[in-house]
Amino acid sequence: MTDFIAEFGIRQEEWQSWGMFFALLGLSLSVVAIIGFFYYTIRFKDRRVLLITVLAIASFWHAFTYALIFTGFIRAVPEWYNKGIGFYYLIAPCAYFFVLFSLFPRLRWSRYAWLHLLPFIFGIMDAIPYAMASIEEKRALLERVVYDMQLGVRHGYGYIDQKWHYIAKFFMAFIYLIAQWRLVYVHDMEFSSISVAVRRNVVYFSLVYSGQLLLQGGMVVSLLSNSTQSSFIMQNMDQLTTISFFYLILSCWLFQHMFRLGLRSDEVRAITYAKMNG
Amino acid sequence: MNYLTAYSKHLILGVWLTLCGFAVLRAELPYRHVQVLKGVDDQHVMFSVAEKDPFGSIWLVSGGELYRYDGVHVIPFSKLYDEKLPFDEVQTLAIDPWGRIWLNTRNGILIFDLRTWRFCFNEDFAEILTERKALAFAQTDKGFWVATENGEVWQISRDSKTFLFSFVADKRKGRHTVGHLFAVDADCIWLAAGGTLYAYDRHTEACRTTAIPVKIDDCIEDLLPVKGGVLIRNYRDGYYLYDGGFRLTAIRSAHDNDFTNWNHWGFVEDDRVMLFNNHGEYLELSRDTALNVQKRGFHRLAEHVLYKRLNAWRRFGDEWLLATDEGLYAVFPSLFPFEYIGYGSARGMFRQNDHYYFGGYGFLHHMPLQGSVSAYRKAPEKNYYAMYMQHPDTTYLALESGFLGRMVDGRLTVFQPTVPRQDAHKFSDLGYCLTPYKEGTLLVGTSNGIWQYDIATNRVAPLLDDAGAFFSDRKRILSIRYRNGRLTYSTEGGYFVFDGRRNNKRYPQGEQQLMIYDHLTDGGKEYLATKGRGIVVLTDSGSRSIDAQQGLGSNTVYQLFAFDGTLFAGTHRGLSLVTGNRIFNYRTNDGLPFEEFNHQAIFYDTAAQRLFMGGIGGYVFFDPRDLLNAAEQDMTVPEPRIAALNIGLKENRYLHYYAADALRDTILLPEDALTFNLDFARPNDYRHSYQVSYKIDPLMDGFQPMASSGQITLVGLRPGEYRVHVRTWSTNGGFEKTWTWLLIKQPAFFETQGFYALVLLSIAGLVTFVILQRAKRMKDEKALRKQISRDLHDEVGGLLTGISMQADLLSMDVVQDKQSSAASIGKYSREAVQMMDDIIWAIDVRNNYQGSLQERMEYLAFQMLEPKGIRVLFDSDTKTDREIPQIVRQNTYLLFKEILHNIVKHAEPEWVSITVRMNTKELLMDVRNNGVKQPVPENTRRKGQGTRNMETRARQMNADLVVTQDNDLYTVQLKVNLRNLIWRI
Repeated sequence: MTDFIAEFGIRQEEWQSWGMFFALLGLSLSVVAIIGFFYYTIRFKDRRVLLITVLAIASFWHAFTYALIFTGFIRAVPEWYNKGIGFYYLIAPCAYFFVLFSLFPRLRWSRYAWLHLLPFIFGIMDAIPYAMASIEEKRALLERVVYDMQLGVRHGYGYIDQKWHYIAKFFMAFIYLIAQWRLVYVHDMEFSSISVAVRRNVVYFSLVYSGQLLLQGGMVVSLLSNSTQSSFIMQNMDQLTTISFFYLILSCWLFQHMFRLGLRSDEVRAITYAKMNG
Repeated sequence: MNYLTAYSKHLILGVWLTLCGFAVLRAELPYRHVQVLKGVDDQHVMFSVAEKDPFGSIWLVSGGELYRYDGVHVIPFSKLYDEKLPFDEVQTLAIDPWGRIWLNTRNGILIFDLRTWRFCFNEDFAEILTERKALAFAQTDKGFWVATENGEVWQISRDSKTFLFSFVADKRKGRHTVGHLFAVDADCIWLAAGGTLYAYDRHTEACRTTAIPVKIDDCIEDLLPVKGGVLIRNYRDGYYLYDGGFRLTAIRSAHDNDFTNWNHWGFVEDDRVMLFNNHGEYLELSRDTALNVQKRGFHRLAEHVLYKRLNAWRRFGDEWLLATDEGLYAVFPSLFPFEYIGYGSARGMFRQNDHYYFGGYGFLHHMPLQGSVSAYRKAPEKNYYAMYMQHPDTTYLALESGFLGRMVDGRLTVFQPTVPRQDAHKFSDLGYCLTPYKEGTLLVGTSNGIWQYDIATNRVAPLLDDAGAFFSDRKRILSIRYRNGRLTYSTEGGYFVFDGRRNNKRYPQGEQQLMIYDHLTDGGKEYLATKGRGIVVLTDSGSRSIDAQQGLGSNTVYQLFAFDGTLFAGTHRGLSLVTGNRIFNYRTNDGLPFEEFNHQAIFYDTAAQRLFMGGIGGYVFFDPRDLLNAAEQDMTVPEPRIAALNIGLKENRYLHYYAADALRDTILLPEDALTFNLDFARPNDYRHSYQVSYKIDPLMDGFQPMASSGQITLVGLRPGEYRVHVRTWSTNGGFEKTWTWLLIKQPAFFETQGFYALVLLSIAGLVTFVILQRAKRMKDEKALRKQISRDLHDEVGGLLTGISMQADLLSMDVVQDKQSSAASIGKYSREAVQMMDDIIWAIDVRNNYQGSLQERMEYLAFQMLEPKGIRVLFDSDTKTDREIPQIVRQNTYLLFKEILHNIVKHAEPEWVSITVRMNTKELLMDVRNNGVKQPVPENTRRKGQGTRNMETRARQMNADLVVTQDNDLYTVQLKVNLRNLIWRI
């Protein structure tokens, strides 16, 4: 382990920081939550659980690979790099549809709902050039990326300029988020079959997710407005600490949601049964 | 010749040993001097004292004022220190090893800390002393001592001070010595004061005092500690040695008064005492009481430097700073001890037996293996340009005017060659180079081509190609070599190859002209010494240049020599060594006596393994292996230092930082910084020829040379992290090192991630607000409908029900003729309740759920038609679980009700068939009855109010309403396109 750290680890002085603590705790909680979600997805076959599972996995992978790059350990697993581009595009739609189906459980999937998967597909396609590169090329790239993180958005392994992923992802998430809050707004408990607790849980989720998205958006705007300092911004612990903290809060929400699913498994089962029987 | 060959081993050994002895005797001390500063400005050139600080700057006292010289600028301390100066006049200064300047002012000692940029008064090491005046300071690399005028000697450490001993102080009768009467070495602290010599043993901490004889004390000037005693300089008698008693030493020079006047410097270093005298004499003694002469030679300090009045000297590392009345000088060791033969402008040379002969203009100069150079008057004055050693005792000389001569055993014969008549008009006797050619012939390069000289017949003829042409006609030949049947030569127009049949221009291609002074072949490559392109390397694949941009001393190269794969090039600016990818340069500061080398002035003595390279002052010679080894040793390049940081803030405010602690590796810039300016010091720039370049990450892609001002200025910095890399490399060897400073510009609030997040939140809030306005209208409408239906139901409905009930009671109790009226009231009231119930149901959004409409329609149909005896056929089919839009449900229901009313009112059908079908795309309603009595002609049909209402309602839903009559079948069809409706949620 010591050899491994010595070989791959960088910025070791930052490992003791609050930002890293929040990130690691958030990742740990997310792992537990994801395992729980997997179980309940299989057990309940509930689309809401499936959506939140996808969201949790994509968010986890985003934070996890960022931490690997920041610590330099990504060099030990170069194949893992650049694999999550497509999945990151799923976070915002999943959050939206999770809120939609939580507040309006009777709604069915729209015939054109698959359109929401298009960015995901394009993202997957854009990851192909890196996946096809030789291991030496990957190592060489990552050797530079870990020290100069802006290369992560400037490398040429993609069909489009990589920074557009950040811009598009955030812009789409921004739109989804507005629509998500609209759902919360138009939902009226008087006409709804859901409980107040469910609605409150959804609102909390929206708040946490919004906070995280806004901070990430702030970072994206920082990067765009101060592109010469993008490498510094991407590894600035002050900013990463805040984002890590919000990721931790999101992980906490996922964790508690997993527990709520467990506690309310009978209710969920009843809903599932009701849906199955029309 | 046979004799020489037979005893060659002995001869070579003898020559070697002789040369070694010669070298020792001729060795010139590798010390150089350089004028660091002419003065603080052009008019003020006197320096009282100068000293270096640990950060590379030199602190000067001139005219009682304190200055800092950072290698670029001389700046008064008053400009560097923001507050009022606590002194009026500085008399002398010293800097301790911890970066504190000890100023001896008219009013006492002041201590200024360069790390914190403030004066120290209350610190432990400063207390009391700041109330004293200093008599003298003494320092070593790790220690610092102060002798005060009230007779105390203190040892200073980083944080404290220790009292050592007291003494009787006087002021030397008002005389200030140049030398140090307070000196410290590893064993002892020496102090001469008040006619007493104080010797404080640093090991036993015992202080011994000895009265200094008056004749010594009267003219005492300097103390040079040696092992077992101290050497006392007396400017009248010379040097005395104190080793328990006083005795005058025998130290003398060849010239009078050298040790007693100002034209002499004496220092101690390591285990030697070094004395620099007038007339270039240098004496080195053992640093002990024996004072054995270890070296007697010559130094290269210019005489005029010695004559300047010396006010103070300070040692820092391996150099001495000399503050004089005419500038500030530094004395330091040269990088390499070049041997020097100075006799004038040099040309070719050769060795014959035990003498070297040096060409040039005028007489030949010769130099025995032991001794000095002198004119060789046995040969006539000529322009001796180039030489070819045929044998150790026979050399041919190309004469610039005179064509060719031969020297055998020191006797010169100048040839008068026979020139064929047909070639006489082309013949030039200006010989510049020569080489042995085919059996018994020489080729001489002249100002007009190459001529072949037959030694046996003394005939000369132009060298012709196989076509019989004088191919080198009108070419000035600068170098010529013949090897393996291939003749190569260079001219003012290029480099050529003659293979015995044809002459070809090798470089440069085509008609391009390039002056090439010299050429050689080594390792399969041809090297050309050019004027303007440095060294051109020719290979089979092409050519490349090694020029000044890559580190060569100059692009004009006069001479070349290859040794073990290394090129030695005499250039216009010093000596360059090219080895592999590295280039080393030597110039005057590195020990060369001159910088400009000469054409054809190069010679390698194979026996002695010495390379002679000549220039405008004569020849330098050295073992090329030694020079190469010296060059490849890592040299220390001075560390660049930030001398000042100036930050421009908003509202025309400025911050200036000079403290060493504030200018360390990481510098934080405030958030309102608009500009910043880094002033870099150039330590030892006067001594080392080194280059400085810089790069700022992430603003610059590559390094660029730093301006001579040493300033880096940045304007409009965005928040973030900037790394200022400063790279220094020695021009002598290309050793380079890079230092990095980290600048962190703090972001203002409006540049923070949090601010951007707030901006996004605001934008998101605004967009959301606009979008929710639409939802709000819908939501408000829902709430209003809900409120209306609730009010109608609760208030009006209850009232109508009450009226109905009262009417029923009235119809039972009142007189008969009014019963019908009461019954009518009751009937109308119930109808009103029914109608209102329908309206409430229609506008109440809570009934939008799927299935609600069909249930209501079915209920209404049976309620209205069955009492009339009309059979109701109701068919409903729904293929969506979507909610029915409010507008559709309301209008469809009311329209359906109108249809039923019309049926009840105008038709007497036996049956009514009602079909309602709904999917995600559309809603279809079909109402048929067979109650048509007779068809109404098209032109007489008149629309009633009910029909118009129905059409209006259909239009509101953007629906199609079709009414048809076929025989007795009356059909009303409604088709609502649900897709046309805007998003409902």
